[in-house]
Amino acid sequence: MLVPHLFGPPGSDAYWAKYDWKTALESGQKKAGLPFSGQFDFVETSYVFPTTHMVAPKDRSVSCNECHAKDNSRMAGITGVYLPGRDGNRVIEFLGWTAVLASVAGVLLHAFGRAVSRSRKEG
Amino acid sequence: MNANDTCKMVNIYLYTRYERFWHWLQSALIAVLLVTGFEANGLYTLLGFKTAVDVHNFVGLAWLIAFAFFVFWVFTTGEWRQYIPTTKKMLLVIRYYMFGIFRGEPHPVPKRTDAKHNPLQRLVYLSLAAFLLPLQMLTGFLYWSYNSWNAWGLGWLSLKVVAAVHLAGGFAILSFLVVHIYMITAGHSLTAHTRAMICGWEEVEERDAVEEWEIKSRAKNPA
Repeated sequence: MLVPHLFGPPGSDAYWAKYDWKTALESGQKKAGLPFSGQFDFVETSYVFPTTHMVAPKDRSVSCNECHAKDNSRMAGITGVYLPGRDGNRVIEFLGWTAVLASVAGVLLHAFGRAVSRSRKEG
Repeated sequence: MNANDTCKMVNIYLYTRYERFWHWLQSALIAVLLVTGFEANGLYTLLGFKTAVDVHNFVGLAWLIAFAFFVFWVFTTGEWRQYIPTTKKMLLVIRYYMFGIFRGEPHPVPKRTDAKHNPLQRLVYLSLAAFLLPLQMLTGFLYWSYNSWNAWGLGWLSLKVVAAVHLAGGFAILSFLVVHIYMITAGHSLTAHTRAMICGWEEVEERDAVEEWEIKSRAKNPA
């Protein structure tokens, strides 16, 4: 891993001044106080851009639910962070719906019991 | 035999204007929060994620502010005494809803102005007003202020845990709502409780005076 000297005034060793990786790397490593063998090469990496920047044009910026969604979330591969809308809690959802359905069933049964006992009294 | 045949009915003023206003305002706020909250959790798409979250945040903060007025009201009027839990006659009330109600027996602890909650209601409403709803407001407020956690020294909090507690609270409130809406029909007539929460007046069975343990203010004569 090498530190390039990227920005600088015209005539400096900066990459955006001379467009030469070797001088930019020599200068960068020197400023960082690190050794440089003079040899370098490039490898392919992936970079995660912050979604609040570098999205152009403005009217095509991403909407919330491009990430905050269960399906096809742009952040589907980013684990280790809780993302509302994408991540739920399966255990709580299961227990929660069980409790709600049990309440509905209990209430229906009770209502049925009252209806039956009432019709018996009237009939 | 029906409760109506055995007991004389009397009309009593049960819920003051603010109390009814607060009840219906809170119902509306909770209904909106449930609908938008479950959408934000990813259960369905109704308003769209952004609108659901915006509405949920706005209504949630409004609830926090409105709840402060309820806390003020409940303490200044002494109505908090209506929420003091008791086990007295608790089993009788449970027995009534399990059996007595089907046989048309009278309610063991009918509503009175100074004791409008039966022992079971006291317990349920105390848990709700003093524990479940404040917990929901606290976790909701924390969820909303996630970006300030580090600045507030709350960086040790886990969003996953806060979100899980908030979701569990939502389910608990929804379960309560199912039973609560059903219990509205369990007054002496199907609509007696609804009428009371709208007009303030409820028709209840005339019975002996409220027992001492039920009374909200000990300063008043218990007889």
